[in-house]
Amino acid sequence: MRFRALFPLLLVLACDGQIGAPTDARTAPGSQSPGGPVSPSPRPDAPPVEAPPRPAFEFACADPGRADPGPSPLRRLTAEEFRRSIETTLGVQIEAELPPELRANGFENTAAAQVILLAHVEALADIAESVAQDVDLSGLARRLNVCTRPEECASEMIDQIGALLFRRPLRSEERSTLVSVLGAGENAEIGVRLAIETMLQSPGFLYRLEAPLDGHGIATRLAYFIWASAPDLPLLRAADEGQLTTDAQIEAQVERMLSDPRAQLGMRAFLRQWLELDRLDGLSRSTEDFPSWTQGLGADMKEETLRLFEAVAQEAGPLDAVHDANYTFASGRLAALYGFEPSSEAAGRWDLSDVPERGGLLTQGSLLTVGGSRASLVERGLWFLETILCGEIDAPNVDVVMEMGELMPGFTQRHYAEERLQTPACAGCHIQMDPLAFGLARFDGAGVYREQDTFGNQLRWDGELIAPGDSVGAPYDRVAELARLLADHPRVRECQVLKATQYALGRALVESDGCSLAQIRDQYLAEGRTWPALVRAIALSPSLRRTRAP
Amino acid sequence: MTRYAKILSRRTFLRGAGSVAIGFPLLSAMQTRTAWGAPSGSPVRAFNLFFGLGIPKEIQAEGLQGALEPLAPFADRFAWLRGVNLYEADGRGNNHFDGGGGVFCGVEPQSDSLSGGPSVDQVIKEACYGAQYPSAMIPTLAMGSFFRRSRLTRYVHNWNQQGAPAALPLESPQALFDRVFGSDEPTDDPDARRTRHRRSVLDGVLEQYRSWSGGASPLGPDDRAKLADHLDRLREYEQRAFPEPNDTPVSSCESGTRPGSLPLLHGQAPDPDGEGVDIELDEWVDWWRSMVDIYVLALACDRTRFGGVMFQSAGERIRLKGRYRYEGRDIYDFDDRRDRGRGGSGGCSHEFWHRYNRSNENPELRHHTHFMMAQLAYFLERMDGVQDESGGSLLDTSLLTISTELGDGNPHNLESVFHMVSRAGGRFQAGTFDVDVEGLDVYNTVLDGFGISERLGPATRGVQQISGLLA
Repeated sequence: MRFRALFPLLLVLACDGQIGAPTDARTAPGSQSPGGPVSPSPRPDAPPVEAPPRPAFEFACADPGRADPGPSPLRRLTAEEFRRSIETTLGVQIEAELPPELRANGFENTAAAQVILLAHVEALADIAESVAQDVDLSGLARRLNVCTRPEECASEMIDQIGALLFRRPLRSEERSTLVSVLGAGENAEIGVRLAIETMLQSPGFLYRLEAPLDGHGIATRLAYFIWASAPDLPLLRAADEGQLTTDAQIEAQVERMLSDPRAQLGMRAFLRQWLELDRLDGLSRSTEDFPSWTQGLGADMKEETLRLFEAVAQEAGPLDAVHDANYTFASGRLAALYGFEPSSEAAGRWDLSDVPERGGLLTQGSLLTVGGSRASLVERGLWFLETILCGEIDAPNVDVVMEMGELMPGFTQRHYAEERLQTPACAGCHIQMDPLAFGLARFDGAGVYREQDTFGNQLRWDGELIAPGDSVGAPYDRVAELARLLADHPRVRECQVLKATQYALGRALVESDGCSLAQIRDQYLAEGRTWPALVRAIALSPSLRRTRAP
Repeated sequence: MTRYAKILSRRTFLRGAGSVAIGFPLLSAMQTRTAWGAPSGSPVRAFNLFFGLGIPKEIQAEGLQGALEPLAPFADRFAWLRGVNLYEADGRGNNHFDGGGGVFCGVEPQSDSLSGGPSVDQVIKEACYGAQYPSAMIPTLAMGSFFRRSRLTRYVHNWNQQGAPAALPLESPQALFDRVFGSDEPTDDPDARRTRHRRSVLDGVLEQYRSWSGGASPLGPDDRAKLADHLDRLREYEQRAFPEPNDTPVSSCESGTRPGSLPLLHGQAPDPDGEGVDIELDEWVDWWRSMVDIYVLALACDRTRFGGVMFQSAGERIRLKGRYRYEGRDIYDFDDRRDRGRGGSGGCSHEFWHRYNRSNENPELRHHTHFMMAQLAYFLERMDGVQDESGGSLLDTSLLTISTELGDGNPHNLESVFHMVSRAGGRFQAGTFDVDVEGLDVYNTVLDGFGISERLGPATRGVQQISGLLA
């Protein structure tokens, strides 16, 4: 963001959280007790803000009949997709991993950012060799309905295994190459294993080659979207027979795939990326500052969120319920951190009917630990805005994101936020972030509920929800109210559509996706806003079923 | 586990070993496509040197003294361009990202993980070598000592034609050593049959990547380029797994051993919760120097001709502690936590840049800058200690572009962003140039110096060559 000489001093003073901060801690202003009016709107005489808030993406469609499917960049299998694909196709579980993926545009499967390192090539060579040795050739041949004796039908085996691994019939030049590798084996079985080792490192397996997009390409897109894995034989057979053309044919496959256990893994892959849940794997907190913290709580928080989404999906209710569900899933140590009473638990599921401060994603540790041990209000609000509401805000002219005003008696994060919201140069952006996080103020950086901070300040948790595109805000008086507002907010639903579609396509969304997205949203809303409805709407969309004409 | 033959000796450059000559283990395959007007007759080499947080223009105006003192010995070896702006890179994002991802490219990044175009070193590589760049050589070798990496534009500074990373920086001496010289696996695979099998498999794999990335492929140009990149990595792997008999080491590459582990927080969870890391000065300097030694050895052994070196990523957050001495003098007793009066992110040196005030002395910022420049200077010294094919030092014959992410760290502007360009074999003039130009003008003038007509930046933007920079 280019610095413009507009109010430079004001920006420095106003946005670093220092305004109003006393030089002497004992000269604090008045109480921060609840009940005071919320006044997040900028002053009427505020000058135009430099970075007006906006939705990250508009659902705009001038001509629904001409939906542009958008670009289709070449995608490599992610490390997770690679591993699951080997399980699906060859039935071999591997322990070795490819190098971790880079997170870009909010997801790990963004095609444009996929790099290939020497470390990938090294790992692929080792894994391919190991898998080719371990695969049960006879069992695989029976599954593919070819003869089980390589010495009698090696060439046919190559064709069938190739079609399974490449997710389409082999091209003639690929077949020639693999047959020549076959000849390098001392006998037919060794030759077939060498050919498998070759296939697992080949572009036909590692990359999703769509030249052009046909039924096999659609089968591949569906499988990696819904299962994060390769198509199975019924799906490939449908592609072979041209049975992935009509809406009804695709819907039938989607229904079948959603009832398969792999759908749960696919959903988890999406959620992990969307909500950045992998950051929780190694999460730690100082036990000096958080005495109730124990190692492994981060992983438990991740599981809590995943299980909540799964439960909502399994109950076939609207996904909105993840925001105001009155139950959760907590391990014993997580329940202890949250202060739950044991009587409300059954098989890891906790009834929150009598726990008014908890319920829904907002009150889960996975979200509450955003913002670090200091529970930064601005970081929480920004994450909330970008991840749950799909909003976008330009960076500040002054990089003050991490600089928090000093907390002390009379000075809470809320105090500094109120100051920002009264300062025209800051309010334009912060009004979109800070009030979202007001409702979380009673949860510390480990997700523990408290009503006073360590300085004895009473913590307010009332605020106002102003989502991108809203002309007026909706006030709330506690986090439960905020959760209910979110569960009913159209922007939250649109954001679910945006995130799932971006994940399905493996690329950043562009303006021309507007028509396709509008169709997906409308179908999703019309069919009850369930996870299956969202998957079905994306699977039927032009973005997934077509590519741009060359 | 992959088994590599030794393609070069396990030994590394001994610190303080003095001047060495470039080794030519693979030279027959390494000729530049054309001379490209190289006055020295040296092969074309280009490296981007990045440091974090920037140097305010008021400190640059003081010359190579004070905070910039460590660069003074190199005054006549570089063009120092004061007044280079990166406005064309200045987009909607935080300028740590726009500047970090825009420097060396001159334009705004496309996203948190893609630059807006290729970096200048990669344009030179493509123009001067293209497909003739030998597969035995590492295409682009990047290394750095850094901790903050929430997004690629903080720490990647070599970008290919598609704007994707040309290399990710290696972060430890061990990883760098292994990348350059291969791992410590046995030289020979005892199982000849297995070796033969792997060779056949690799041939089959290579053939398919050639086919899908070649001119007859049904894929579009960007997709083919992606597969061509994979093919490059496969060829590199091939060189390591199946070396040719004439890939032998030379004397200059035979000193030292693979580095052991050093006590520094690297390779662990970086920048936890964005709150910065504590780091001891002496440990860090040891670590950095070890990395530099291996990197320069890679150049001395001609293992690569393009790459990047980084000391601290864009928007780095560290809390430095330790006594800093320079040429026998005490410069400062660093303790950022003490100086900032707090821990966490607020206790990081980053805050001295946030609070830079041109009217004040800003002593902590100056001390940190001096320290960073001393680390860069160590790299330059080592480069100067290697004689290349022409008899000149690598420092003189290579293109070294030194830059950073910001101008003034208080408003986070991209105005007067520090830029130095080496003479690159006599292509460019040394000296101080006070200019008011875009980074694109610098990079495009550099391309002119190499006789390359390709331009960085928007096609509609005219050529604005920097007066006096070309020799």
